[in-house]
Amino acid sequence: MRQLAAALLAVVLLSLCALAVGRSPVELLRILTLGSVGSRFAIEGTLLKSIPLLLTGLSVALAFRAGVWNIGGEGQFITGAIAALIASHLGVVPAILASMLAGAVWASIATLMRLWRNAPEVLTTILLNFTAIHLLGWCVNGPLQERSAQYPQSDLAGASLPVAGELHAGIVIALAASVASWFLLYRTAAGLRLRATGLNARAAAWAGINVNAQLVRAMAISGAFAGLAGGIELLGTTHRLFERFAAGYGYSGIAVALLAQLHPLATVASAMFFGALATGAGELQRTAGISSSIAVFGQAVIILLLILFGSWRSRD
Amino acid sequence: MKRTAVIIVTALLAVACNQKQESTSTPTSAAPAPKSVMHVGLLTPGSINDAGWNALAWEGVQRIQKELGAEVSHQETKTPAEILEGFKSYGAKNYDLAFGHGFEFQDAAKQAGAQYPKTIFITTSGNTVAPNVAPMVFELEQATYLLGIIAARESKTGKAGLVGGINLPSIASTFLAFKAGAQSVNPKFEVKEIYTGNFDDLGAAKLATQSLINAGCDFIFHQANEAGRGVFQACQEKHVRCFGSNKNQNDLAPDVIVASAVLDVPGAFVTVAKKVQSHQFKPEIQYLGMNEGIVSLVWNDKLKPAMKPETIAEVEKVEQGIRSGTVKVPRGF
Amino acid sequence: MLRLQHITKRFGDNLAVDDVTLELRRGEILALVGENGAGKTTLMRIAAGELAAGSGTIHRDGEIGIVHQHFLLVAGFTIAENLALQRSWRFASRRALEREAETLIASTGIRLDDPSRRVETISVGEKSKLELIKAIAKKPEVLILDEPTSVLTPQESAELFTVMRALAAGGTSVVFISHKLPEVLEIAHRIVVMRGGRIVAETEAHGMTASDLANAMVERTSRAAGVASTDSSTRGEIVAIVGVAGNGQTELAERFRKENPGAALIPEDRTRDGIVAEMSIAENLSLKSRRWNRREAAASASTLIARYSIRATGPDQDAGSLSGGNQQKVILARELEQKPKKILAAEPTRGLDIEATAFVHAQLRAAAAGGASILLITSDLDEAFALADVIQVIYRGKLSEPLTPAAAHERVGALMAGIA
Repeated sequence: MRQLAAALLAVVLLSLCALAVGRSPVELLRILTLGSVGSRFAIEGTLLKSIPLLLTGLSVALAFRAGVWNIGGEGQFITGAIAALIASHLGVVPAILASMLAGAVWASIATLMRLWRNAPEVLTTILLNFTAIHLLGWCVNGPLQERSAQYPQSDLAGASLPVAGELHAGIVIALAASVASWFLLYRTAAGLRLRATGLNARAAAWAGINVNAQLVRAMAISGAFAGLAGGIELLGTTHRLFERFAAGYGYSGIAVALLAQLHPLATVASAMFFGALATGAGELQRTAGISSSIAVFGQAVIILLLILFGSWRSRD
Repeated sequence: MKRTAVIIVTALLAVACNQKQESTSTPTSAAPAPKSVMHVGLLTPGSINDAGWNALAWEGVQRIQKELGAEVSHQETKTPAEILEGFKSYGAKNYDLAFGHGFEFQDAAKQAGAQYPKTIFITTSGNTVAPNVAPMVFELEQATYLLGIIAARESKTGKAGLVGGINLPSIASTFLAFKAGAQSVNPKFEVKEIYTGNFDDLGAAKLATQSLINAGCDFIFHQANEAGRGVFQACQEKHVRCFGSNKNQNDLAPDVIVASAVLDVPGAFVTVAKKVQSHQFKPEIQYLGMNEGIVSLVWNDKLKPAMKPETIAEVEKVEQGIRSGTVKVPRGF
Repeated sequence: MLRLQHITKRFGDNLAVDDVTLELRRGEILALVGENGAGKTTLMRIAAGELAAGSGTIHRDGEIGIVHQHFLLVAGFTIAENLALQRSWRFASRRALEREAETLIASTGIRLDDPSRRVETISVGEKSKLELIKAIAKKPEVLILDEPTSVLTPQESAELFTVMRALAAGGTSVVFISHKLPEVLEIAHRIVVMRGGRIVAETEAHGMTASDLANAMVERTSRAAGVASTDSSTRGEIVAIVGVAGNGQTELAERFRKENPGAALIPEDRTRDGIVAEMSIAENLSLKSRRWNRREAAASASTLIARYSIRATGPDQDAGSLSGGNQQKVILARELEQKPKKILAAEPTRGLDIEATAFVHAQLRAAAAGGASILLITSDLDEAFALADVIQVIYRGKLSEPLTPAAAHERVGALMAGIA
């Protein structure tokens, strides 16, 4: 009931927005829908965009479930991509493994600071994002810059993911990752301990669970997923590094995970929804001349309403 | 929550399909336009309301709309996936011309170009060329070479200073030309460079300028975009002459800015579009400089009379040489 | 004052309150007794306006104060700041707040030292006193106390009863929810017994006996918990640590936890440290196991629910929705099923009814009989004497010499007060 209200309210608000800029809401809705799921081309675009979102969403969902506030997806995404590029000369599989390792290591810096000096990971992961962005900037202007040294970007990666049509194999990896996350969280004793720690760390400790070990584990897995997202984006879509590589995927992952109420399987639907919104918004800009600011505003309205009205943390 | 998503998607689809049926019976604007109208698309890496790089591209496309009667479209693309999708979407709709406003659009232009040979894909800067893909390269160096000549002719200390934002190839290249111009007058002329590391920190640009002035530089040229105002502040305070860049900045500090090296980015878009419309496009790097009217040296009329006549004469002579091709201006890339 | 007519409240399939009619008289102390889950707390929350009744009418007159079993305090604030929270807001120095708090505390007749202490550092007994002070400060017409003595020492309970009598004499009606029949008979004017959501007995306290009340509360006779035959050679010792709350019991428990990995631990604060409220009973029961298989866990949880007579709809019910006594049974089941060599039981029967208390005691005895050594930390002297082989008193963080129960009878009061 509440969800229906949210959906209706979103439609009404956005229709009012459309009318305010002098456009027919039905026409815009038609363009948005056709542009996101209305053709093979559109569906492929939607899926392509949802791959990194799914992985960063899973990264956030896993960490938050364990009570670890990893806001560092952006930085782990970047370091994963850098590692994937370096390792891509050994082949695509080493590149993917390297991206996961790099993301896990980058995230674990925050864990170390938490365990050593009790520095809150919310803060340290954000700061590590900035560090990673500058690391990337240095890499593409320095050691990893293209051989012709003309633009601040790297050369093409030494390997890439297999493709079918427009889609690359990253989608299979991402879907497998979401099933694996679900299995880990809900079907293993390790997952039970992670969740217990996230819900009540004191009770977990009294029940004999090593809470610090859960923190270390959750952060490493979460970082590995965000790193994998970066590696897959590099090996499947961009094929090279440049300064604005991350484009906010790490942060969008938070919204994706919250919309999915931190459930790994629901994250699939949530990521696709975000991917479809982005693809549809592109079509709105191109064919209806709706400016990007308005398109982004519309997306924000929908997401806020869904999170606000969703059964997310119901209260009596 | 999953249910919500399902509800929304279903609702959207229902409305959309409904509308689709209507549109088959009544022709709407979505129907393909007659081929005589040129269709031009633009992808920008950021918002076209940025009063800078992206706004200039949008201005160019709007001029194409007005001057060539074209239908135009724009999308802000933040990720490579969006860039490729944008280009391919223009290709699929048989657009005549699609611009990607930055070097980072090259890979996608090449890929989309191979798939849609009827559309011409132009990137702003770059070096990727294919039968229907080419970059626009602005030759601002032609103007900064002339600024170097002015500085070397008019300087009393034999030193000039350059303030850059980030050390990008395009910026380093204009500095290289400035230095070459100055040393064509006086091989011993000294040019000092400082990069502040960003394009928005006015304070850092001002400090850099002050340190150059203290080191004896009596002409300053900048490539720091917004932060350039900091350069002008420092020059005004110390009464040191300087130059404007990219736009005609002479009015920003009319007492000290001698001339500006001006780049007409919107004009470049129109120039390329005209070539495409008249089927004169050739798959090669589209150099756009003084001869195309895209690059120019604009004197500050208030300060020009204070120049030595031989300075002005030489600048005019060298400009003729550049236009006719007898003077080769070095490029960084 | 307060009149409840035909109140009914349902939680899902569970009928928590079933057609209850109750009227409160001015200046009386009414004891509301019954087993865990009998509907006492629910009824009183409806009376106080915290819960909406499913049906029925409520007539209220004046302020109703309620002191819960769980605390509604800001842990990072001091006692004085917590008291200041319920006043209208204005600027005040920390010193001024503390002086005001001291005046307020003195006016209630309750002893609570040093209002500059942070709530997170004070004992459970002291938190309970603070809640009581907060409620009395609002000068309510009706004051509802939910199991107030469960965390208090005998001295503190006596102190509380003095306060309750004074309030009643001043015209306030006091509702007192309790399991402890002797104290109910000591303090109450009138006694109402609830069972299964209904009022099953209502009587003047005068002339009642504990066994009359117990019979009214518990329909069936208590199931005898399986006590293993006692073999003195393998039997583990039960050491009871008694003392006034806040004398280092919490620190002692923490130290035991760190020094004895693998021991069974029954924490003092069960909702905070014992269960994961958002997880199911089955999940809570599996927190210590190496393996996790949903089907196996559900099956073994069902067995434990039966064995420990946990009143629940099934293994998938959220542990947080259980009553306090049933939450304690879940913890007990998880910890004791490990067949531990060492057990820490901190306030294991706090807030439990007679039947549940007897059950917990039987389980602890059985564990000791099975060879486990048990450290029992309790503020309930009856419990200590009922279970312990050895009693030690804790006072200001120091333990007294070990005493036999017989010796302890004479000295425990003085030791707890720090006189001896």
